[in-house]
Amino acid sequence: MGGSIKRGIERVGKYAIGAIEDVGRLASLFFQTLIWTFRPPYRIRVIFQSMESVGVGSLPIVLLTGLFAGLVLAYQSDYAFRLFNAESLVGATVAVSLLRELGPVFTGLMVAGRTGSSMTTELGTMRVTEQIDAMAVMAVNPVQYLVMPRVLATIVMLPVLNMLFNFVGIGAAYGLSVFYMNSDPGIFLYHITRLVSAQDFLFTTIKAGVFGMIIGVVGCYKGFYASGGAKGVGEATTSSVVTSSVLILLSDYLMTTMMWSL
Amino acid sequence: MSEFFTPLKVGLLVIAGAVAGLAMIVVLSGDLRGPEDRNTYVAYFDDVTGLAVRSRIQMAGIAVGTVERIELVGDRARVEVSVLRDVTLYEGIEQDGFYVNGATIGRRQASLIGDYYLSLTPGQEGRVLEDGDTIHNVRRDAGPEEMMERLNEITKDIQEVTHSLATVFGGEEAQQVIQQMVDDLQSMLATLNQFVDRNSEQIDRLVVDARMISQDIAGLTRSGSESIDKILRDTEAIVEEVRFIVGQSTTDVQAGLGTMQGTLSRLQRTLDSLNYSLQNVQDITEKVNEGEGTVGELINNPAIAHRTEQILEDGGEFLERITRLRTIVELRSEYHMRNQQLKNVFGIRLEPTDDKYYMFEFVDDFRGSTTVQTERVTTTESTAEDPLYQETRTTTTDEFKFSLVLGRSHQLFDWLRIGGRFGIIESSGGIGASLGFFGDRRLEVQTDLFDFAAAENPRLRTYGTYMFLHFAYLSAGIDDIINPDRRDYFIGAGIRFDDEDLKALLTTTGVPNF
Repeated sequence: MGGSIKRGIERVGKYAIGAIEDVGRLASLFFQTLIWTFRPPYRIRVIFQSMESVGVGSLPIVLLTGLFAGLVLAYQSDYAFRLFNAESLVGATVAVSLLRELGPVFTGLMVAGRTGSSMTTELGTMRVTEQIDAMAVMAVNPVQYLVMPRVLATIVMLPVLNMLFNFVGIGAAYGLSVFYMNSDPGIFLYHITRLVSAQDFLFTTIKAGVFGMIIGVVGCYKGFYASGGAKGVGEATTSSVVTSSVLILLSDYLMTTMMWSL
Repeated sequence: MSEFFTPLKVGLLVIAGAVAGLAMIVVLSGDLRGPEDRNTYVAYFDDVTGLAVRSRIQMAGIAVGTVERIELVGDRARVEVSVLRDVTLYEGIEQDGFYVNGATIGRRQASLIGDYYLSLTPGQEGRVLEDGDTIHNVRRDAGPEEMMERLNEITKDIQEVTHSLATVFGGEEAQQVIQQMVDDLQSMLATLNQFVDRNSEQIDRLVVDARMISQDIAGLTRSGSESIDKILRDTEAIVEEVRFIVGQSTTDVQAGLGTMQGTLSRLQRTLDSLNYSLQNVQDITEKVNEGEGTVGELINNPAIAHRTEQILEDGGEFLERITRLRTIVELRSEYHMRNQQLKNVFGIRLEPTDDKYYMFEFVDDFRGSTTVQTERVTTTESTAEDPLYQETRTTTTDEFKFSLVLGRSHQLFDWLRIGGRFGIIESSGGIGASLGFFGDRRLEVQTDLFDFAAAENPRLRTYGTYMFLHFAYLSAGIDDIINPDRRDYFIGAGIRFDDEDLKALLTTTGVPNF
């Protein structure tokens, strides 16, 4: 009885220490990445390759998500607002929802699922096959060569993808409301201009940038410190997607309360 | 190859994202003007239910600002609002603690689902409110809750009334009484109809008579109103005096009676003089009506009225001509490339109508004024074949030239206007033509032929002007085209604007027609 309690306490302690170590390593990797961003040699080609992988590679899934998110939101909002004869508010509701919350969050989740996982797998495989160690032996800093371009690419590309997501989503909502639900196009846009401000665009861009940083840092961290062969790489990939998603939702809540309570 | 396409793909994606973002900012977000274009004002409300930070502020239905901050100060809500600087607000004139004709602000409900905004009016008088000032007049509009309360009260009243009615008219006996009343009413109406039918002519006559009498009374009242006013004023003064006398102490009653006597005699005199004045007025009006004297002549002579109308028409026509006239002042500088010299022109162009103009120009031309003089000279050289020969001298003097041109133009198409002109061009006789393109003659090509007395060919000049601003233009052209030795190319710039003050000075001399 006493032994099992002791083992339980040990397990909790081990888990807590592991979690704190994770936070420390994650912070260390992030700061190393930050430092190596400004130190030569600048590997522009590698950065562009990462941007292509993150941005261009995720574009179709992000646009598709934006299209259907806009359509579904407009459809359901119209159903609800029609009960109060307030269908004119559909556009504003969709635009505010997409710009402030759904745009950056959906984009972040999609990129985390598609690109964050591939980053972890790629770096994890390199780690377990000791390619990263070999790189260090050849005096190539693995953080600068492997991590920094990926983190930079996600930070830059997420706001771009987010903007396209919002554009497509609001466009789809406009099309559905005006051409299918017979809403007044002028009033549709008027209420958006009434409720949406330039500040919303700034905040949504900041949110997307932060989500990009989370995806990049977590994806690279999980791969960079993967261990245990093929099974370890698979677990690291799953963990990377879950951690990124949770951090995105958590930081979204924190940023929303900070930004719109000003 | 992929090394080439990777940056291209990334670049295209970034551009697409930036364009989408910019498009949404421009189309979807409201007014992009920042805090530097806004003034902040403060207002104190008793109730701000439904208002929130960033709620909109409207004036005449147009958004002019937003709510910036709401906080509790004592038991009232202090609301800080930012309003576009273009909107001028007035504080109002302070009277008894209220600011009359000042800016007002009030909470208004935008929809039945609890959407509120602030409605602003700018005010008309008083100091202009500056950044940080307080809007004193806060309107308290009836909200839905208050309206519902009032409706409840009204409903209670209606219920009481209907209850009373039901009590009075509810029984069978009451219904019979009502039926009896309706029958009586019908019978009365039938009798009235018959009476009106029988006496309609007499009633018409009565109505006409009554109208005439009322007109007479109205005329009488109008003409005598001044006299009546005077009498009333005198009477009022007398009553005041009587009142004063009565108010004296008892020891002064005797003296007061004496004064009263005097007052009554003055009243008699006043009434006499009033009668005399009324008689005089009557005499004067009779004379005026008969057309006697200057006033009578003025009022009764139709010829004078006709002439007055003519004078007014002429005056109206003259004023119309003045307002129609455009006075355009022009200053132009040209750089002549071959001579490397500047030429300056100051001109005034009067346009009574769109298709006619008079132009006067002062020209400071580096070529100066050229005169040609031919002399017969007898040589003393004995070896010369012909001792008598002719000598032609061309003299150039540095002096101002002037142009006085009369021109007409015609709008051929919406985009093309053609024109011709003649007169004195640069101190010599000349003619010219012009082509104006676009509706506002933004682009104009002009040609002048003048100085026919020159030693060689006359001077032909062609140049074009392009108005790149509504008051400034660029010009370029060729001067003296048909004299190759003197031909020159020039470019220049100028300003051209309407001068209303100059018009007022010039038009007093009238404008001739041709």
